[in-house]
Amino acid sequence: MKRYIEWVIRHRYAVIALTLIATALAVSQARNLRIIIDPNTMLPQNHEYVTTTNLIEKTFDLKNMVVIGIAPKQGDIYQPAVLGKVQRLTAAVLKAKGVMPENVLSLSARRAKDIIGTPEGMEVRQLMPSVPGNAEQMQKLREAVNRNSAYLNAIVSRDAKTAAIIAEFKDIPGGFRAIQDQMDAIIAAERDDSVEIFVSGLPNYLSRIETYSERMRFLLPLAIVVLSLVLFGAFRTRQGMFLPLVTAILAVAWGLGFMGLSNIPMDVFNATTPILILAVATGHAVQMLKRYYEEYYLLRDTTTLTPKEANNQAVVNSLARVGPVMITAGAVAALGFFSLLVFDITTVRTFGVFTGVGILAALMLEMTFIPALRSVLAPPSDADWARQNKVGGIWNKVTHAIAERVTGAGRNRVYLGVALFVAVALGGMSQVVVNNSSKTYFSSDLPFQLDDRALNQRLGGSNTLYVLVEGADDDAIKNPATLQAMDELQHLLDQKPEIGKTLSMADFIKRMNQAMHGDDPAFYRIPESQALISQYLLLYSMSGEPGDFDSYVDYGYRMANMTVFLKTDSTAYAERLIAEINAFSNTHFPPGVTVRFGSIAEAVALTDTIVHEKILNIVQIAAVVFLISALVFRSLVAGAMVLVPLLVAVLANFGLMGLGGIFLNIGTSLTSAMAVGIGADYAIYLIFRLREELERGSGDAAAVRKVIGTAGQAVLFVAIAVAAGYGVLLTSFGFNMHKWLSMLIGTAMIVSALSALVLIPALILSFRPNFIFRR
Amino acid sequence: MKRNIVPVSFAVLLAAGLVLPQVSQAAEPDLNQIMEKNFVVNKMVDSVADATFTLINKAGQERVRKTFGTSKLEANGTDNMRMTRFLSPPDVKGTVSLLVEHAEKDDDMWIYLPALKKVRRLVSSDKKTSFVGTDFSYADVIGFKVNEWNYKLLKEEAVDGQPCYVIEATPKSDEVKSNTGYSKRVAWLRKDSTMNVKVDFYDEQGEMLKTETFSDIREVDAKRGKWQAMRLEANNVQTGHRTVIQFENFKVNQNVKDEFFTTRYMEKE
Repeated sequence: MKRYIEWVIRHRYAVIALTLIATALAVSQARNLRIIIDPNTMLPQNHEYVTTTNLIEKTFDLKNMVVIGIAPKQGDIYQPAVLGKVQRLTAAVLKAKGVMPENVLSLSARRAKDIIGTPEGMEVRQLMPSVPGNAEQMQKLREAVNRNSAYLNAIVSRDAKTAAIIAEFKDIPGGFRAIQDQMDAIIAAERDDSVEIFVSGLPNYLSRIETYSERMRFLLPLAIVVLSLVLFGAFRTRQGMFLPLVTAILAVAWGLGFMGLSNIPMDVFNATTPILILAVATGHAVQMLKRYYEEYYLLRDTTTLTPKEANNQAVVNSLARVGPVMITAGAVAALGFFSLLVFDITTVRTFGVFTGVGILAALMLEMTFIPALRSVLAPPSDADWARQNKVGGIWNKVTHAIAERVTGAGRNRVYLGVALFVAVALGGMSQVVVNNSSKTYFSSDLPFQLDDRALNQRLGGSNTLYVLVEGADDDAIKNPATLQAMDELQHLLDQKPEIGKTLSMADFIKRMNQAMHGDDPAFYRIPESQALISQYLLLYSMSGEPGDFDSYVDYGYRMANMTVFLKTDSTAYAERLIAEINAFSNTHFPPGVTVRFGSIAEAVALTDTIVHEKILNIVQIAAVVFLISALVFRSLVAGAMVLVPLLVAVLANFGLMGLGGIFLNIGTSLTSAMAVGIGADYAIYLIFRLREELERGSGDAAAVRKVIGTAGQAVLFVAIAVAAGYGVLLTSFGFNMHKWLSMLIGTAMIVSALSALVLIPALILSFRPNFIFRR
Repeated sequence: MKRNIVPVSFAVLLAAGLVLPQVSQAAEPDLNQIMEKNFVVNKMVDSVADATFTLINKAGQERVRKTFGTSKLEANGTDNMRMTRFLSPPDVKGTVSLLVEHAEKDDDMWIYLPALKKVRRLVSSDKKTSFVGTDFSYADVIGFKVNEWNYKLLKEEAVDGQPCYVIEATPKSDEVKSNTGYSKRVAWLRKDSTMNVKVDFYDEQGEMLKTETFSDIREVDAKRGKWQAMRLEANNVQTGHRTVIQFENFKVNQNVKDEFFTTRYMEKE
């Protein structure tokens, strides 16, 4: 190791030049980085809800629903000016990029048909081919809407105060923002003093997640500034501030470059991953720096070396001591993250690769670039030294207090404190609610949240659950028993306050049966004969158009889609609803007919799998950490010991979620994996240093005091600096996700640091494990 | 949705669908004469035929209906009466439709549903909407009024070895455009018979909407100079939906009686 470091110092300019070239290359490769905003990349593609959603998308052209609501400030929607807006908005939506034109539904959509019962039979006409020009025509339109209840609460509210345009979009380049931007522009053209116009739907929320996530562009640099200020506060030297930062930033750049080079796509859900790399890289850098200062001042105190000579010697000594520890800790963490490659969800794999590469990059930099650079830079001045000793005060007090508790008689009270803390965390953990509702990501007073609430109050709902009814063979949907069960299911669902509307083929069959019986309300039901149902459909086809029922039945009448409009996007609610529908279906549908779920069910699938898989991630990383630590120290006890503080940090994380009312979702579940990755480093540094000090023959208490005062202090510096850095996310106005991440990461950092500082020495002193004391 | 009816001489009218008045230029052929001939070339006195309607969605799934149909030209020489009896699939077997075309107003349509054992009247929508659930519109079937369109000979070219005129038709007024739903039609007409081989339709926004193609064109009544395409296809490029109509056993001048086209007759069999 020593020889290697001396070699680096001799070739320092070459090393620095090579690093700069590598960084330039990485930055140029990072430009090729593909950023994916398709939520499919994070969906478990084999989950039944996801495959069903894909099937529904393919069969019925239903995908991302957008709802636009128009409400006049005076009177109801039956005014030429209002209906003119409906007509123009519909025409504009039909021209939008990505829209599925056959599934646009509004008063003026061609597929919105008026089924009229006449004494002689049935008439099918377009509901509103043009805006009614006089009061009589207006009255006729009102009657037409009211007799076709399928449209009530879908495109016209029951109180006739709001009209709606419902459109489905496929995924297009530019993502949800491209869809939402088009909608915003279309609406802006019709907005005036006479009406209120609202827009919502899935693209609305997903596009905001993209937009708000982009705040990381300035929040991340701001976080780095705060972090560096804290480091400066701790070291009081420019080197102390800059060198850890240089390592961290270059590590992130190298990680991004590698991703670009290997064509692994980034996704918005990994926007927070650089935080982790930053934290880990800073952690290693600070350990190294702290040790370097120790060695440097020791050399100045005990030898007659010149500052320049002492500088190079200190670089060699610190790297020789800390290098192996850093490589061990880094390898443990990197392998833990790389092990995530076995998961089949793109975003999880990306997280694993990105983090692993970032950590390895940090290791490489600390082993090459940083020592080379440090040997080029001027050695620390005596003034630096004086300042450091002075400000060490607070940090020394804290670490000293910890050391006293751990080494003294108070150790049992330390365990008691930790146990109490764990108990509280466990209590909090039991209250954790898993919910992937994207609405909760945002403050409820944001304009688009108000729009969404208005739409959900006025109409059926801005969220959808698709219920796919499928028979064994073609024409299965024409079976009266199937339609009857669908109708009964809709009746059951329509009673629920969270459901504003259900729509399926059953509605149209009932309406046709009624129309063919002179509009007698008694015949607003599913007929008993399958032949009659077939003949109604044939009859309808003679005046309707080929695509009229495309979003309700497939071509062979083997599958039917029921759209359930929900006023909430809570996945917890959707999960209960699905269970209830399943229970109903098992007893009501004829044999051979299956019922599956799509749309919001995908979010349930996320809850189902991703969150659970992310927890599995934590277990997996922890297992790798345990195995490698046990191997490195050749002791299972050591492996377990590394895990203990890490476990406390994870519990604290979940405890905070439960007590703070923070949902466990895609974003927040990530913080636990971070806590695991960071916590392991702290423990490994402390164990190594403690072993080193004990081997030198220091007494137990003295060794612990020394370790906590040096490596321990470095741990504390890093934890507080990163926590403070991520405190800036608290300023992300309106975006709860950032605030949650800020709180959770901050807590994870500080808890894992403190628990490592307290528990590692305490446990070693209490249990006196062989891997430390009998070498 | 089952949406196949095969009024027998439906195809006849389709082929006649392009009726173009003349905008004569000295060097050009007499477009007016061509169009007048085109208008009547497939209007037979009467006809009987078996037909298979195949509707195909963009995923390639099919709905197939087999029918037997008769048609008879009304005294005005423009409008047809068509009776269509469904033979398959089984659940619609015995369903009968009767369509009486009216060039000037909504068509009359009756349908007999065996499951209801009743004849019901069905009022069809305006001319630009789908003709009985196919990708052909009522306007395509009934025909376009000659004097409502401007015409231009774009070029002459051969299609499948048959020399054709390529004629563009644009509506003279917005009303015509809105009633038919078309801003432009471009037709390839055979020089020998004036039969349409292919027609491109553009929607009201000027976007390409669909292509109709006519093949296996036969002279069915040499004496009166009547022709018929045995295979008709409409391909909607906006929706990806297609309709194919295939005629078999097509016979004309069968002395079909008027009483065949009554609601009373529909309930028989």
